Amino acid sequence: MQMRNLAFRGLRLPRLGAMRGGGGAVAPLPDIASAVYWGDASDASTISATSGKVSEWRDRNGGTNKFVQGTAASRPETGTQTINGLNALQFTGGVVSLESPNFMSTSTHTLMFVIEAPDDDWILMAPPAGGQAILVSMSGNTFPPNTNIGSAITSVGGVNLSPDTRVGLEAATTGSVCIAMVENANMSNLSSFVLGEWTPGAALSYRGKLGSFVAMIAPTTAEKNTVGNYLSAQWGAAWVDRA
Amino acid sequence: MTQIMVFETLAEAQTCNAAIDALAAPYWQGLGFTVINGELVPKNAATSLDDLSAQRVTTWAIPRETPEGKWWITSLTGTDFEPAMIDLRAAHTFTEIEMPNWGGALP
Repeated sequence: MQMRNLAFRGLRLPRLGAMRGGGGAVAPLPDIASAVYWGDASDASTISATSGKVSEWRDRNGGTNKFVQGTAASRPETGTQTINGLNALQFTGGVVSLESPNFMSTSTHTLMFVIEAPDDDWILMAPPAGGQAILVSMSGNTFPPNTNIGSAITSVGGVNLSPDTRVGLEAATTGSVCIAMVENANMSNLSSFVLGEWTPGAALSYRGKLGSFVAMIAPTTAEKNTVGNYLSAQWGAAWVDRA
Repeated sequence: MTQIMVFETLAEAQTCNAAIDALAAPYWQGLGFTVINGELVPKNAATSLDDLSAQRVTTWAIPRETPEGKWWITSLTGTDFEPAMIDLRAAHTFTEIEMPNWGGALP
């Protein structure tokens, strides 16, 4: 009866896939013009996998951008972890990763991640020689949250890190679901974007859950806040609107 | 922690990895998955139907070089393929170790 009433009022209903797997999304997927990729692990229709290992994670908005992994031993898990009752991808470190060639390489991006990494912090970085931008976990070192991607601004839950250091990051993220945002990340001269692996050693690969990953090119503040509030409601993470 | 198999040469690592790929295809087929030209076709997580246009699994691992100049691939230990380690140990020469923290030179 409630569904009929909603339809009767002409309201958009959330995509069916977003409702699978438990709590979370109740609002319609926002239309964000600047979004070039919206990965949503709770939308099973965007995931291709075998035996719970992910080979492909597609854009929830139906775009052609996607993250892939063609090596069996390097695939992250799906169906084993949740955030706020919704399916999340699980990265287990080592060589586990997803890679998207090309689409991140052309511009300055704003990136939003819904992450739960209980034992580690995370950073986004690019090697000095270019090639890749990578989301990894960090432990036991003093590197800043974002490295070699220009004048990026790091925030958690919409609040800029203070101090903008690994210590600040650790204080803001450890042991909780968070919406991490990297604004003005310079992806020029990068050939690909990798979620999970920098080097195969234990200290430089991502170990934790990933619920959503949204990439936007030159988003407005309103768009950032729209996405932030949507992710907050969906995944149960804090968000404070950007000014 | 992830276990890895360390080989003296790249050729040895490649040969062992090819052996794993050879046994993986019939294993996956036995589980009801589609294998085309040796590549595993994933299924849509929502529909459980084959995603023929999605990224296929083409190999078990890609050999990587250690800081000491040896070569390694991810071990089958702890995976569905673990029983095959007996045959691999008999047919190939490698050392199985926990993945070290090689780190990497950060900028």
